[in-house]
Amino acid sequence: MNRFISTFAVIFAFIVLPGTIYAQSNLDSTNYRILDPNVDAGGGQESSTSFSLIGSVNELSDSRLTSGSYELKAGFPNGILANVPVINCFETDTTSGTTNCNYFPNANGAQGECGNPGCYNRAKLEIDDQNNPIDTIYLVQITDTTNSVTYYLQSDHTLGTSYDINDFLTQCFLEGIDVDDTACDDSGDANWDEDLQRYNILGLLSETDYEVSVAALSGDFTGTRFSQVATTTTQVPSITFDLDIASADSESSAPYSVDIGEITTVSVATATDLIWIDLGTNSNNGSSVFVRDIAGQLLSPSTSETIPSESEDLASDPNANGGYGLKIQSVSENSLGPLQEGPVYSTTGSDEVGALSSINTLLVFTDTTGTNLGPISGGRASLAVKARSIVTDAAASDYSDEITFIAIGNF
Amino acid sequence: MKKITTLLLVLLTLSIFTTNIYAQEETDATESTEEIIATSGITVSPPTIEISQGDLGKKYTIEITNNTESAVTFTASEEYVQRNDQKQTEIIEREDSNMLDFIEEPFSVAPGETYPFTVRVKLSVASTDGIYPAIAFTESGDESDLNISSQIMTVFLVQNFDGEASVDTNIELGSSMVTSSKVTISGDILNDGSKYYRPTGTIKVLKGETVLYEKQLTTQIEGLLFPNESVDYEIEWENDENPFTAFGTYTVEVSISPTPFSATQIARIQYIYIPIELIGAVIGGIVVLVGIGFGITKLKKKKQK
Repeated sequence: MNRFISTFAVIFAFIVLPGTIYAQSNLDSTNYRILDPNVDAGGGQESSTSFSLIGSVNELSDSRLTSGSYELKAGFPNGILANVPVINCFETDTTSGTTNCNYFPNANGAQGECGNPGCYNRAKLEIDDQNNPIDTIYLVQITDTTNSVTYYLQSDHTLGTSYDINDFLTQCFLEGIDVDDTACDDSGDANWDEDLQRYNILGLLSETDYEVSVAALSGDFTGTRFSQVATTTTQVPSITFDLDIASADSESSAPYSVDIGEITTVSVATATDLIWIDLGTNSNNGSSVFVRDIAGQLLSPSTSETIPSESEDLASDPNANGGYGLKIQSVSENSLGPLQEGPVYSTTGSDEVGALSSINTLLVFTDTTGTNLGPISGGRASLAVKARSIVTDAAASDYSDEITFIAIGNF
Repeated sequence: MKKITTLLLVLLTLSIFTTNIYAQEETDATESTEEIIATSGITVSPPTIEISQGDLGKKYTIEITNNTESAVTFTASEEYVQRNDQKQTEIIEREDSNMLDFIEEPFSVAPGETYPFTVRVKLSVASTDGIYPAIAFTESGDESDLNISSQIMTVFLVQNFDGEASVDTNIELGSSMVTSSKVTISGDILNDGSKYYRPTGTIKVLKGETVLYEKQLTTQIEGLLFPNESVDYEIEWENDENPFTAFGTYTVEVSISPTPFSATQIARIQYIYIPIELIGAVIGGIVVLVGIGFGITKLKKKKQK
């Protein structure tokens, strides 16, 4: 009944009532609330004990009428209709120099969030709300143009082939930030969502072309058409791995080998060259590098003498049997990650090493517990090879071992 | 002398670059805008491939790209992996490695080139009980003191063909939810079925039929969830209703979908919210009423005297 009275009153006002300009202030009654209506010349707000109404004789001016991007909309209820949003950005592989998005947390485009070469199963969408009220809700239509399938963004930010009213999202709940909304414009706000500022469209297929467009709704019967489309292509998931052998941080080519030098009983021998590891991935689950050798020892084929690989401080050699192993000297990354050290080779003493064995042992890995999840760009670790013999070891020039470094993605 | 001059030039150049880098960091300390630099080396794509029962017998192409400056020769082999408690991939020893078909002959990839390597998942593959086949590409070293090789893998995540996908969702409310407008809602999502899936979901707070708050949980819980694994979520919601009308029963509803399966699970919990301001007003009112009653009684007694 109340709704009928309100509807009737609005129609009545549209036909009859003169009025003044009401723009950008909220209209409230006990039954409804309209935020920031643009009721132009010839309209007004009236109320009695039983109803509230707004009226508008005509929409006299709109500075956007000449734009090719907007519809000509005249007369009531144009003032309370949502405006067609404009897509600011729809990106998977941009960098700081190419992005059009304003709110990537890492300020390095989509690659700053997903790693190189970009996102393979997600994308970032930002819209310009065209001055729509903060409670305007938006429906995102995403078309897979590679496979000709149309989806709609669901309220859980994945894709579905149908939608309902719950899938219309405010700009805050779509992007994790709305600079016009005081409950969503600052990192301390309850509705602020930094995850959505990284990427807000999930569940995409890799190496696929997508088109996106957005429609707005600002109350019953106020829905707009879909906006002009923006396009992007998802990247491929990948891991990049490389070894270098050098005394300082530089590139070298396969085949790889390290000369430990003279292994003595009086001091710990450290190979002049370090083993450098490069690791990069855009995998959300990150990746790990393992290491193993043939039999956990240096072997001299000519004498059959061995130097065991043990986790110990070679300077004190507590077992008094010599030893050999690896020590992580440094880890770093260009962005994302960070790259973490495996416990066996993350030693504190300058001559403390971790043992090699035929069992694959974790060497370094990408952190997946932080906000960056698993991707990493420019991960780099350096390893020192150290050894020490004992007096009873036979002298020989052919002590050797075979070490394999293995990169593998997490899932 | 020439060497010393060169060395000095290098050192000088390094020190100049070092100064420049620090100067840039000082002027732009809040935002990192470093250009993303691709890691050099061997790139394998994709690192994982998901296999459902209908995919058995299919061929998959793995691309190996050589981003180094020299040609690299690889040998492919079959390995086995599993996921550990830290959700990291572990390589395991297994004798009967025979799930993948591929050419075992070494192949060479020229600098800057991409090699498409074909692997077929055998029709005979059965459920793998958490152990997955992987193809390893090994780049060999040479004969010397320490012969060093590198290996990079692609894992085939073969779905468990038996059983069902199932989700168990728990919801917990912070202890202050009865009187405080700020409520911490947390819980976990347990895969109590026998298939892996990607959980996606939303959380809602309702009063009666009215949705007061809705938020996506997907970014907190995303990633593959394997049988018997769980993933946590937590949000904080502030009830901004007027304290004098906010009193009532609230429902927290968590909806989780085990993508790509359609067995969406909805868990609900209800609680009664009595705003502290309302309690204060009621106590204040009682105190005032008691005071008035006491005053009237005293006045009556005074009059009787």
